[in-house]
Amino acid sequence: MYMVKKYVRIYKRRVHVLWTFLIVLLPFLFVFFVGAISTAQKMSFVGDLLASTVRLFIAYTISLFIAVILGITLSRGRVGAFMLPVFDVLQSFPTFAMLPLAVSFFGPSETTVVIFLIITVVWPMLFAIISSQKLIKTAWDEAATIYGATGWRRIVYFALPVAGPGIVTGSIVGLGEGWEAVVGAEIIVGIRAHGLGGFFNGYSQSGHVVFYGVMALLLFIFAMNHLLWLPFLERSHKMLTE
Amino acid sequence: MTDNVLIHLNNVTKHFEDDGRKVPVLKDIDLDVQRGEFLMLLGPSGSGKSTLLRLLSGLEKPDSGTLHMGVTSHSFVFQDFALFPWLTVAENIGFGLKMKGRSESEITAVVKDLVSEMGLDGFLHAYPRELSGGMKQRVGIARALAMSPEVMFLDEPFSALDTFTEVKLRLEVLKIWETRKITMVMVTHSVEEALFMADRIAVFSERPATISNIVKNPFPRPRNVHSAEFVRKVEEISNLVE
Repeated sequence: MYMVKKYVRIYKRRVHVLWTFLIVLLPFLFVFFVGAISTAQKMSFVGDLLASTVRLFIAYTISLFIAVILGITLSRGRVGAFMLPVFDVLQSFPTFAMLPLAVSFFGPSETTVVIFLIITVVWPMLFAIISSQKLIKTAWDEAATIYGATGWRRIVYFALPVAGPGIVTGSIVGLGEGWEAVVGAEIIVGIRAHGLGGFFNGYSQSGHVVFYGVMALLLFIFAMNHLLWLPFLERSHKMLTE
Repeated sequence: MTDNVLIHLNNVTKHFEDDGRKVPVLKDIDLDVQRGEFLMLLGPSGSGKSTLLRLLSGLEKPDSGTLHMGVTSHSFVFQDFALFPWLTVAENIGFGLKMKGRSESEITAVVKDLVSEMGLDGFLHAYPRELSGGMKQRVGIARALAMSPEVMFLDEPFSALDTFTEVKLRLEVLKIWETRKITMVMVTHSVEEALFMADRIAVFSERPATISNIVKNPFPRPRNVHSAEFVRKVEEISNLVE
């Protein structure tokens, strides 16, 4: 009776879910259409897109974990006050400059691409979470303190729900930068496995294929935002409405 | 400190930092809170009453002087409710117990009793945004009572409510105080409210605040706010505040 099971209800109706799935299908339909009228192999693009998506997803998951832990623990206190300017300097560092160094350490591998993506995605997420923690209403903070919220319980039952909008906003910005970085990193690292970098590099002489590839990628990103992030953003803000 | 004194303050001083400047808020505060009494902190806006309440509840530390707390448990009712919007009514009420690591069955039993006592039946799984101001403050009071506190601190708990709800909740808080024998320390800027509810009234001067007078309430309970003596006493205390 005390606790009720909570589901993330981000869709208003079943029709809403259906429409959203249709939008997700769009880029694939587009790719098959492009494949039929151009010299690009349609299955190659789908494989490349999936391979890059998986790399980005792995990097995002690790970044999320790092950003939540650091964002919540370092948003206050002396260590946090010391680390914030350090993070600010680090996030301004041009990450592509690190790429040749990463290649010399890890070789032209998928690990190098994923590590590079983590360095790209983690900063906007970290700063969005730190910002959400710094903007906590004083009265909520005091109530949590008075009612004994300390240690892991404070993180799970207080800091994490308050970080909700920060996590979602940071994810949207971080993944946006991640898509750009994944293509660049795959080209520079020159991995032999599937990937969008290989696709765009391989078809660099065929302008129209590159154009169709970019259009399909944009449709895919738009679909992901529409399917996942925008409903989550709305939901996370509603959760903090008094 | 005698057995009957729960909290003892001696020569307590508090400053706040503002742009590197030290702004004195409380100066040389001497005060005893007696077991079982209803003590009111009365003064003009910005005189430091809420700061003193925060000192008493442990949310702030004094800069100098001594503060002895002979209390094992205390809770706080906030002016703007400070309910957690991501939690339901039941989860808000049980928050403190959850932080103490109490079992779900124990929390459920306490929450069920309080929901009934505070007239919140039917709103167990509602979120704060779905409640009126009066209902929100009932949840705030229930959350405080769930901790079975020895002392309850109330920071202008009715000031965000309409007059009708304010009058009703005043009576309910008095009933809780009488039946549960909880020591209550409340902040108000209303002389009438102080005289209607309190056993003793600590009158604050303007900043940096000192306690200029401690008035013992001469009226037996229940009090008639329309009697000539009551109105005269209100006027007398109002002159002390000014």
